[in-house]
Amino acid sequence: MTSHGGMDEPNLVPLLDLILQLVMFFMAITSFAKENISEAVRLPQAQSAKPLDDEELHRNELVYLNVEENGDMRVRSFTDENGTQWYLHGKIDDVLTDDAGKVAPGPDGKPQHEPRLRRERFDKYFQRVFDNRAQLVRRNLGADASDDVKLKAAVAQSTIIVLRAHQQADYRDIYEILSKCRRAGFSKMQLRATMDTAHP
Amino acid sequence: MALRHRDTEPDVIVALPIVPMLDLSFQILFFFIITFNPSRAEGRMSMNLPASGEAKAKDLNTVDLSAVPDRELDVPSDYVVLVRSYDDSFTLSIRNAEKVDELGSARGLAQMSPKERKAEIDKLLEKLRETLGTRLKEKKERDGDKATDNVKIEANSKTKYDVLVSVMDACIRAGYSQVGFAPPPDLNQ
Repeated sequence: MTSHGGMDEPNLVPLLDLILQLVMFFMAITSFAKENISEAVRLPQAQSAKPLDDEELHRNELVYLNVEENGDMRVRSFTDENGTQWYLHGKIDDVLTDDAGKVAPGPDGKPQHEPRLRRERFDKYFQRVFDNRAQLVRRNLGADASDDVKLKAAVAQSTIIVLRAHQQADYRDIYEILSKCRRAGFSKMQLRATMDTAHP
Repeated sequence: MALRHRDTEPDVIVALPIVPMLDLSFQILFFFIITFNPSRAEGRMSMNLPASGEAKAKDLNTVDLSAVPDRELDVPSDYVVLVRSYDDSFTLSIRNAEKVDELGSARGLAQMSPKERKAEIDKLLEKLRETLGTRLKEKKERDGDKATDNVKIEANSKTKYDVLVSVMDACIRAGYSQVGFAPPPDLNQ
């Protein structure tokens, strides 16, 4: 390689540096923890929605509920103390099945949902999550753990239920979720909405 | 030949093959750019569910599904905002004790474009905000610091969540700090 040929070649190293920086940037923002969030949920808009408070989010345990257009609730699976895994598919299923256990399609060819099953499964879900949280809190609480009332209050105080519901979800489903959630013993809720920036 | 070349020029710099690496980087960059899907800034509306009494069912096997919820999702409230939202119509009223004031209703929504529909509903929501705001102000003048600011929303089963949130939004902007939800009157139909 003579010095003459080398001089004509453009110096690609800074370009490569720049590209790698960009790659890093896009990697960092796209791989953000999205496991709690369902992309299918289009949130409603609200002018009074406040920006998320990071400190509050870190201090509390968050339980994300994603309610889709047809009322399906997507949740995160969890493992309880006995090692049983719940909601592996991330879904509280209320789809009707036939005797063979196969999904029975409705008149429109889509799986049929049964509101009564849904109500029951919401109820069980919240009780399981509450019990699971209670087991974790009991370990940290120590001496106070035998006091049932204190334990329940501690769980309710340290857990936020984050509801991300689709714009077109029915009030019936939202109401069911809120009431089952409260019945299980949770009290802190956070409804998510996109901030309306058009009219500040 | 090559060996001799190395012998004579021991200081030669081994160049990293930059060009293939650059090609690869561009590929990766392109991939991340097309999969980049910025989600809109998410905000929160915090609310507290009122403390429940002792749960009626002690374990999963004794849950009575046919039972109506034992209490409303609510603290005692001054006003109940009644929302009746159907495909074709939207009605807002305020119930205070037993008295119901209809704020207005929009009809023929099914024929409208989503934009017109939203404008029509927003008009009513603005009216709701003004009415609730005036009533809260009157109340504060009357009761001073003791004035409570609770409001409850009662919507029908088919009310869409975006409508519900905008009603809630109107209540909060009117100055009410506690917004509760009442069961839909047509829940079990």
